[in-house]
Amino acid sequence: MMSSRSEEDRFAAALHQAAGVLPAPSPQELYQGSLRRGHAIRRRRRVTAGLGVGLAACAAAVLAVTLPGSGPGRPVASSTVTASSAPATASASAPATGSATPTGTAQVLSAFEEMLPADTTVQLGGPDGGPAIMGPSKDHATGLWMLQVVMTVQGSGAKGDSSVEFSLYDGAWAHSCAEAGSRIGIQGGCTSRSLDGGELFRITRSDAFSPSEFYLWLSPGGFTTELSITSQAEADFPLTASQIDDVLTDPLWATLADRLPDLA
Amino acid sequence: MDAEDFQAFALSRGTHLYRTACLLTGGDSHLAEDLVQETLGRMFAKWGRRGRIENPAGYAQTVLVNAFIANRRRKSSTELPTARLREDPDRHRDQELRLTLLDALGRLEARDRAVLVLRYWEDRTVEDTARMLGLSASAVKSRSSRALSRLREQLGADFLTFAES
Repeated sequence: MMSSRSEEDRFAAALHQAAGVLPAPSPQELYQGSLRRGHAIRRRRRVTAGLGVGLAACAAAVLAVTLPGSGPGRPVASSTVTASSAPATASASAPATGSATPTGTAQVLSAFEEMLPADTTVQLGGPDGGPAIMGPSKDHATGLWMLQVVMTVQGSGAKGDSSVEFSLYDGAWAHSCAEAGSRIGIQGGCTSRSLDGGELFRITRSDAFSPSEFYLWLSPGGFTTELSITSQAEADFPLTASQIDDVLTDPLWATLADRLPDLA
Repeated sequence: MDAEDFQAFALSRGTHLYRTACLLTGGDSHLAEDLVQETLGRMFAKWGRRGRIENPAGYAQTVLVNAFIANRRRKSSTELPTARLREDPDRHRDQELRLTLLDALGRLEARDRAVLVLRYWEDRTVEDTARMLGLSASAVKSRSSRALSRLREQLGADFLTFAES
């Protein structure tokens, strides 16, 4: 029986020695993974705990868009909004740059929301108090300025909703599938292709409970746009491939990328 | 929510949490990474809400250990950790001993393993360990003693040699 203090001390030393040399993944990988997990947790909480509130908000929103004076577009909101009057494919292909370049994060949020298909239900923020937009701030790991938009989106006919996260960086943090996969923490399942003069990486994770797709577009201008979608089933993904391309390459991002520090 | 605060916390504590998770899982690096992401993900979901986390490092430890025990409950008690780390053909003596220790840890009952990791890796007191695991102090002592005894049975002379090397 090992019970003496010295043996316990030796065991503690052995444990530290063993743990100290364990190869560890990069902290950035762990951080990125935790963000995905955290957003998924929030989404699950919203689905289970906020169903009643969500239905009430939906009803209010539907009522609002049917009132005289309400436009067909999706208004800027901090709660659930449903817009069912516009064609399903209209807005995703339309650049959101019809108005002036946004000068504040609320306008960025609104512009991004306008890029989503019109027949989707979108929820900004959430009951946890988490923001729909984070930044602009300087990313510790890459040294790049970044802005992140987080929404919960349910496509027309989808059984469940999806967590949609969009990020804009003022530079590039990955230049290959391997680099992107390593930084994100998803190995394998990466493809790349040219898109609008830049390069698009698509990384998929086939998780039975929360499949996700991750897109990274390196623009010819040097900035990066990133979109990740996590659902409970692949059939629930709210955006088509062409809609994703349109979001990633929207001209708005080129005008914002260099100005991220000014928006902070 | 202060996203930068969370990012700074995750980047600074992630590796330590991963090592703790590796000890808990007996060297299953995939499960360890999964547990750390789950732990940090739960903290992210709570971060910045009313009732702010006062001691994030301690909170993370508690969440990690609880996530590990919950995970083990869901799995077969006869399941052994994956052998990714043990498949390296060029491992030298220290590595062999380290892996032997991890392997031996992996064969302990989950809660016993958690007791050892909290007591001897995290340097938690008996009372702290008891609180974190929902056990009595005497249960922590008896589990610790039993687990160490089993390790010694499994590792034999290697146990002491490793600690002294």
